[in-house]
Amino acid sequence: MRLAVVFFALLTAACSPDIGSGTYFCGPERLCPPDLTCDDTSYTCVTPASAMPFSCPAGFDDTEPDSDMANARDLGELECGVPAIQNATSCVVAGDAGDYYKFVYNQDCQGANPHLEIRLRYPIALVPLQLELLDGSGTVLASGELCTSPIDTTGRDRVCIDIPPVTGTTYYVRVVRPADAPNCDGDCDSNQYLLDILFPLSGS
Amino acid sequence: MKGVILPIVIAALVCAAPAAAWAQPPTHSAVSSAVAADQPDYFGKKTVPQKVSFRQARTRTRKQQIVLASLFGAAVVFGGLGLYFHLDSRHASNEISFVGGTPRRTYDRSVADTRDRAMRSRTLAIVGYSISGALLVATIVAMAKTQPGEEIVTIDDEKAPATTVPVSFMVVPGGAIVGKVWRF
Repeated sequence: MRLAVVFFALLTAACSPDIGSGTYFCGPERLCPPDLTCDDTSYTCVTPASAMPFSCPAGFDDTEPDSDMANARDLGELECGVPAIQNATSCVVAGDAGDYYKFVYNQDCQGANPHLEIRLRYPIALVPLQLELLDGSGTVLASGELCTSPIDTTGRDRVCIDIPPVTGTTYYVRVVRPADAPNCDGDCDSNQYLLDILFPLSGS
Repeated sequence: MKGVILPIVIAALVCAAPAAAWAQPPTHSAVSSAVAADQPDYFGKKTVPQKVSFRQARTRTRKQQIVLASLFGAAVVFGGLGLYFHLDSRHASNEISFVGGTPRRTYDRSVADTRDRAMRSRTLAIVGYSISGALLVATIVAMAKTQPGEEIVTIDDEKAPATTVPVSFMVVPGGAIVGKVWRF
């Protein structure tokens, strides 16, 4: 009888997925294995006891209010080949209209392919974010396209805009939460993000 | 050739000698003159047992054999299915199992689907093994229940069909050989 129990246990143990706490990033809308839950701060699947609620990175509200063009975070004038901002960490919380960033391009930079590379990265687990580039009149010049690498192992999605700048233009970058974005029925309606506004003079 | 035939003929004559003695019993007067009344009659007809009994293993009926084969065959089939789903489940489990270390992958829909497949195959493997085990037990029980055992077979000499005694005849160079079988 004991042998039969051991044999049965071996059989069943041999074919059950064994997923440890913290070994997976959460999937869309906090998707995790049934016995684990999503930790909103590290966006990894952990045991329910060690899961923490969502919180924005420290200092994220230093630039608030930045929820419209008039109050956009001013990044100054864009220099040739110099990033306007890199690895900027911020947060969009429930009820926030979004974050605006402003910069001006007055140069006439020379190069094989001078262009703006705007990259937005955010955890897949929480509400997806939208990236847009606007001109001074509020017209949307470009919308971000999902460009996450298939071999990305960071648990984040990436959205890209590549566009050549026009001299004498004031640009606004807007990071918003789309109205119809999946948000765990309101439970994961906030997200943090990393923003890069690069200005390489060559390359694709 | 003669070297071969001669021993055969001698063997036939030696074997036939007792039969010849039996076939031509001495007359009562001759026996009484040669053997005293209180002495054993070595040349008299032996008492041959009229019945022979022996044990013989019985065989299962055709129906029983079909039932046993069906039970065992079904056990093998379900065991095979269980093994198939077991291996599928283990393959899927190994694909997504991580015990420790830093996160390397996102638990997206494809991973969730793989996990679901592993769990579904695991359940089917358990069901397959369980049915197979039950069928094996049923096979063993059925084998025990239908154990035919042995029977005692008695051959009655009087009821036995008359034995045909073949006569063989073979032509050999310079003559022929006649052979006959007697029972005594």
